[in-house]
Amino acid sequence: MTAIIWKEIRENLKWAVLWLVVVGLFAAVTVQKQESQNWQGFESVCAPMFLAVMTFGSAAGGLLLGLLQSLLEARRGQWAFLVHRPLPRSQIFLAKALGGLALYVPAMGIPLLGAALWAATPGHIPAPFDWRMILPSITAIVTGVVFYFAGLLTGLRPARWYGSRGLGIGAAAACALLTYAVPEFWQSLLVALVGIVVLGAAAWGSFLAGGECQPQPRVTRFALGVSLLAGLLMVGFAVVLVVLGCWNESGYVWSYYRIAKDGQILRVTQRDAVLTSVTDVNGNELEKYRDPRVRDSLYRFTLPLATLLPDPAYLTVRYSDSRRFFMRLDNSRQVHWYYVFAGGRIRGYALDTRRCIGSLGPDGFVPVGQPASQRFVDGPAGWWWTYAGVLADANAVYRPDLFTQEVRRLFTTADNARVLGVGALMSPSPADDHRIRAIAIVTRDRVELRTPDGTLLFSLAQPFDIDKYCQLQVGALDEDRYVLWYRPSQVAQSLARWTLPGYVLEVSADGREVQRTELPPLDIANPEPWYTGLWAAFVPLAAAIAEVAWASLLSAFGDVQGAVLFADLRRELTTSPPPFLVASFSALAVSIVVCTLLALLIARRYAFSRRARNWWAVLSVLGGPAAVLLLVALRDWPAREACPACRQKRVVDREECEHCGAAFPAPATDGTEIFER
Amino acid sequence: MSLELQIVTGSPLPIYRQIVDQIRHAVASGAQRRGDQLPSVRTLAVQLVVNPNTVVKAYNELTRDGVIEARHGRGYFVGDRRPIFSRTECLRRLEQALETFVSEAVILDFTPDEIRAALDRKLQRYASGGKPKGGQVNE
Amino acid sequence: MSENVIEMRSLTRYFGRKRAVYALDLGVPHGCVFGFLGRNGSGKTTAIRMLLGLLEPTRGSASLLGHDSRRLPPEVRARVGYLAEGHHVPGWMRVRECGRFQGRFYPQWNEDVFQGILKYFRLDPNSRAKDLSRGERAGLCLALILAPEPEVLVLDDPALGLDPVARRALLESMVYVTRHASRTIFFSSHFVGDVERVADRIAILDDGQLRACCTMEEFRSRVRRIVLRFPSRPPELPAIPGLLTSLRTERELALTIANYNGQTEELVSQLGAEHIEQVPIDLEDTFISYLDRRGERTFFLQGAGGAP
Repeated sequence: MTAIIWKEIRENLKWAVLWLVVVGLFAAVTVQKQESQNWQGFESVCAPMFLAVMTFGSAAGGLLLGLLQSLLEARRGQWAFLVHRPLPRSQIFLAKALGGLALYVPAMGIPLLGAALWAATPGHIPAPFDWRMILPSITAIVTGVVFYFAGLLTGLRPARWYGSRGLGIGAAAACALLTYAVPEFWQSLLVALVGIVVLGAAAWGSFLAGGECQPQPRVTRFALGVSLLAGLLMVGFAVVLVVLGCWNESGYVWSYYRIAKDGQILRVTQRDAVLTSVTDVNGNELEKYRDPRVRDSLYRFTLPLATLLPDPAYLTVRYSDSRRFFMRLDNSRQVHWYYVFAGGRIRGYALDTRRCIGSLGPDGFVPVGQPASQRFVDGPAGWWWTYAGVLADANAVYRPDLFTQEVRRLFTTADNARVLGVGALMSPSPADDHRIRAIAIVTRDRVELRTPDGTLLFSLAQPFDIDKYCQLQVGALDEDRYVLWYRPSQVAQSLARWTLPGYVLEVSADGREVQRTELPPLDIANPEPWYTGLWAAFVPLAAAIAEVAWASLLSAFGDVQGAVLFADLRRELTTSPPPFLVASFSALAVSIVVCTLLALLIARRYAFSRRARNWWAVLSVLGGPAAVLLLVALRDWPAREACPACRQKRVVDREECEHCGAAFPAPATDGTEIFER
Repeated sequence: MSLELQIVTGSPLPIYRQIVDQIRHAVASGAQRRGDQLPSVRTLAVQLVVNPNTVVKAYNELTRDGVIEARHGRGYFVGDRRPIFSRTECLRRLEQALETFVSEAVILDFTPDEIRAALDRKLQRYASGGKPKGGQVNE
Repeated sequence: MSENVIEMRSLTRYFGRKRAVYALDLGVPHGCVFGFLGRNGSGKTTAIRMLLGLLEPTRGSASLLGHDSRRLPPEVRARVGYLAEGHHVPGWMRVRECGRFQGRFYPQWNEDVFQGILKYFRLDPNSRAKDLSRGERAGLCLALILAPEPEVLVLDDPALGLDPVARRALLESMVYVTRHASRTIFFSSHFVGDVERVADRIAILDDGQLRACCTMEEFRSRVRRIVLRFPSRPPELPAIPGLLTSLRTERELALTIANYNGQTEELVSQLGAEHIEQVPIDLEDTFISYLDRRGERTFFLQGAGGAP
């Protein structure tokens, strides 16, 4: 077996080296890049472009290698050379795969390792580096193995109708998309490993049977079916996206609230990118905003707000995001400052030397090389995005000055409570645009407002339950008035079936609530025309049932996400217009009936065994058109000939005719045959 | 003395028959004398590039006709025993050979005298080459 | 008890709607050299691939050394040498690397045999397979499959594309193999002369169906070639069972008939020929007539010479 591994390696070595060089070049270039839109600065191995290189490099590399190893042997003589050996065919397949992987892993791993080592060495990247940042690239490489097996599978299966040969690649793509949908590394890895098992088994089975389907062992046939189904769903998904993209007619309409600089609350309606109307809370048209040009520059009239607490749903940071490890704090030219979570200090990196110059903590600036004793504990609090010179950790609120490299401790909260969020209120008048007028802090029970030097302006008791109304924005109006805007979280809103209102509180400078306005929840549903419900014909029934079952199961166990999903599903069902629902359900029903009939017809025509027929009938009920397409793509289709006895068409791979039981006729003779007597 | 055999494929004569005829001819013309060893079956098969079974068949026929004999364990040798044909059989074979010879010569428009002259020349050549062994009758 | 080394029972294979092999029934006994004749596309390669377990039969079965071809265990594969069409060897491998590679799989690898055949075909151990000529590659492949000293040799069109010298070398190798009475050879070929030389038994495959399967002598004995001379234009032929081909000239009719028996003789004699002569058959011609669409060919001298 090692001989075959060696042969496979030798055969494809030059391509692997070429790929290594290409990926290495791209990796070297992208690891140094700064993503301008991302604000995070030099993310090195977490940089989106680097991740893109690793993802596509792995996928394409794996796929090409798999195709190389299988397509070249599709020619008959080479197949015989490989397979006619005193070795079980499974071992030959294993040797082939091991040889391919022995080439693939270094081809992708070495550039990754090189880039990581380069980034980890001080003096190269003016940003922090954590070895956990290579985890997304590792997932990409593992996902590439799924593509490798998809390539093998594609090369092994004979050419069939409409490129069904390449459906394995679709399955690998589906797996890759799924690895991106989950937030944690172990989940991504698990998805990729499942993909490897499924596509690996499918490739193995096709290798055993020389590309045909029926002679394979049942397990691999099942894996092949799953792969083809995933591929079909991907193709269908892509087709639907394209069609819907071309067909989008009326545009997306939605409404939201804004607070004007004079304190008035506006309700804005927007279609796609154009603001269509600006009214007051009750819906009355406002003179000021009637002119579309005024509407288009609405931002000039809205009050700048500091977000103290965002919706937690928006705070999930994926493991591939560098924000898990550090947060960029300033836009200085000479030094980049990063809050590093692992150390609890703000590290500064000089752009010219590209080295860390030191770090800021509660004890001030400590140059690099000297031990730093103090650290920010569990910081920073709240919505890190709107950092503007104020930082809160679990103990106190600080004012780090990144230019003078000083850290000033401002204050702790009035009751020493933990700060949940902090924000700086800027002056509303354009004259002093960068001046901090006040600092707002929110704890569990109170909202405090202080001057930039720490003097308490007022402390207000939390009017609402923070768990339910967890979105809070604060703004400063012109005449010593402040606004607090509370919004319910997505989860709470979903569970309350979108009935919870928002609240805008106007507070005076001494902390008294002057006015409270209730903002009714805005309808965000876009009514679809009824005929879009017909798309339900293509939805597998099993998917719909699974989603509902999953949601109800989760919510029965008390899981919040499940409850939200369940509530959203219910809302969709109840708020959709009846014609849409009727169209959807009837389309689904018709599709199921048609598909099942089709499957039964095919089963009868090709004389499936009873068990096969039943299985496919059940599958087409559950899967709809996808199942029928799978049926056509998966099985081998024998020819049909007229039976000499009963004149009906019969399949050629059975000895007995399925109608009359007659055997096949002996070959025609004409008297010239010479056979040994 | 080496045995020079030539096989032609696609001929109307089967290969074993060609071998038989040529060995016969060699024995008759004196190129192979009594007691000479013939190549083993395998050797001849490799030499002529034919299936050994064909050589076996040829050798069997020659052994049956008494042209060669198999000595146990040592191979095939040109026979030193008299052939076992009866007079009638010998005459029949002679008649067959004459028929071919004469009809061919007549078709070629040779006169009887020319034919006889050619025959004499041929007999002389055989006589000078050594006494032919075949054709002796059991008395 | 079946002592057939190779057996095919109703072996059938369809490619889509096309029927490549139909109801093939044949057996190759132990120690036999079996020649498989047929045109390109007649199904020989398909049948051989099914025999080796490289292709699934649509119907029927094949067995090799007593084992079903669909499930040949590795021990059986070790005893079977297979030369696939086209003499494939990975192009980047050197000759000696090929030997080393192949040798790792067979415990019974005989290096002397391998080197001997290499020398015989005058192969440089350091040259790469892709630089070899067709004939040299055939020699390499032969060396690779003969060195493990297999019990059964299955050769798919081994002489294809070889020059006469290489073809002769191939034949010599095949005869060399037969010196062990226990070895069986199953090969397909287009060269009738080669088949005549080395084959004990032959089979003729035409359009996926077996037309003949017997020993060489049986074949010769059952085919006759009759030349009939007529006083004037030969008459139209009635249906004669077993008629393979007929060649009509101005005065003569040459018939090649298989399974010649008393009935056929009588039919022939009733044609009213003034002279009936049986001439020896031309083997090549006979094979061709089996593999060709049967029919009458006419050959009229075109006005040359004038007088009939």
